[in-house]
Amino acid sequence: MADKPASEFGTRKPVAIRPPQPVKRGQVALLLMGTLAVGGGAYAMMPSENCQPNQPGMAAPSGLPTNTECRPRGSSSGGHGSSGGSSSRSSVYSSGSSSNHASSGTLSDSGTGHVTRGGFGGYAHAFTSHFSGGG
Amino acid sequence: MQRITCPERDDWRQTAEQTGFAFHTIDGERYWDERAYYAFTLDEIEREIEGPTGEIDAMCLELVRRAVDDERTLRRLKIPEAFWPLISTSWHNDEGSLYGRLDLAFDGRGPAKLLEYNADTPTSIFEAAVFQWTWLEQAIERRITPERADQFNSIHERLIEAWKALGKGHPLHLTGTVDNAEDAGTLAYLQDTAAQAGLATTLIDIADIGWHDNGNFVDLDNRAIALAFKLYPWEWMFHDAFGARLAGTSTRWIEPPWKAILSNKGILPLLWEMFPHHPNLLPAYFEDDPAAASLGASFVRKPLYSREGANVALVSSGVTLAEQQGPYGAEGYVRQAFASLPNFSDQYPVLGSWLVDHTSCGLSIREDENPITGNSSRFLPHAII
Repeated sequence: MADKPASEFGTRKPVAIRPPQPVKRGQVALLLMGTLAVGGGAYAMMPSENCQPNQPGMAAPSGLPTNTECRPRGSSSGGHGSSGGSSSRSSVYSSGSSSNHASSGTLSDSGTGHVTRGGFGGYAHAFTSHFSGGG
Repeated sequence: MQRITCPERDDWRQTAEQTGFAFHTIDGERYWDERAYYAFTLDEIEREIEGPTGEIDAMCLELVRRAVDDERTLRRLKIPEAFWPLISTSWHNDEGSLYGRLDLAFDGRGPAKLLEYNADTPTSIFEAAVFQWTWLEQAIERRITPERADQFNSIHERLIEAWKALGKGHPLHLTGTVDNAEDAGTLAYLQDTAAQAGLATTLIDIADIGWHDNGNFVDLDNRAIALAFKLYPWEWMFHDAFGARLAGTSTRWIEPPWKAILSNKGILPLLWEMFPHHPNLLPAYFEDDPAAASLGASFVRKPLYSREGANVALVSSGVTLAEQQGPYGAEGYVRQAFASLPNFSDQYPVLGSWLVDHTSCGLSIREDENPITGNSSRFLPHAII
């Protein structure tokens, strides 16, 4: 039988933490663990435009509309349970090091320029709310 | 394999809400259900679940290796030609996978049979990795299960390790349709595991991703998205307006584009072609393949693209016995031999066998009165006893 998790596994304490708010258009305060995101003002200054339609010849399956517009245990060798250690699975939102504040990317920051949004997600919104992207 | 009825924890709803498991009840119906649990022997887990899961994953990787530059196969899968180079490049660049879930039919007597592979956007991982484990801990404490009970579940720890390897310290964006509670929960959990791996993370709705004229996808701060986890199917991205721009950017996606092959139900007949009579596979054929007639008039009909059982039909002696409604099917169907699910107290369980970084590492179980597992099927915990 596999070993049980070490007693120090996780924090295990029920932690009351507000669910994170996703980064949404027009929002400035993006909270996961209390970190204030910035940059919404800069976003508001950016130009926008309609997206391009799908590539010619690409049908939208299942009769859905073509999107032509943009919208603003372990292994046998180890335990089957958790192996213990320092990770925490006491809650979805347990980590203090996570935030919704974007940090510097490895690509160059975009700075100025022209940004178009809404080019993803159109297909999902053609479905009813009963059909998520997950499975 | 047994189904054991047991008392619920009096405070499980409170515990769920404290841990962020907001979708434990959906439309007033239980999604999380701990009025029973499934019990396995260690031998069943190791020989019948863990081992075959690794073997199926290896077969799937061999399938991708053969398919990725094979025009005939890509056409059979109805993958738009415009995205073949993107898929091929991601494979040849060895872009890594975080996770996947095999759905298996298993009754404890014969070998587990692959029903389908949720290779691209599997959900239910929080309840599998965390809340199920919490249940086990408390069930042992409260003598709901034997004290020696264990669980096939190292998903959480392996996710953290996988993020370290995939992220290599780079910032990570996570995206999907965040107004869907289940998807938002999955994203939040994966965001947390990435943060525990040391990655700086940003959650962004898929519709809010921007395209900068410098050739980068950008977030709402107009920062370039270098590494993105997406809980949004590849086939949807291909048809979205930004789909045409996927090939021209340096954004690395998780799951990678080559997973578009494995999330297609067409892999079921392709696997059967490549590995005929493998004990963990069911006979399967493309519907337009004359060989499909060998299944006779009883089979399961699945669209090439389908999620959560939508548009899947059980056909017996030519009569459709059960069918889940949905919007899929335009690309065609496959037919798979019917694998009777075990019936425990008039409930049909399907096993979800989790892979993280290609390692078999956990089990989840969905149960339903209907033999087609759908998005309303309940999640029951399991234990090794």
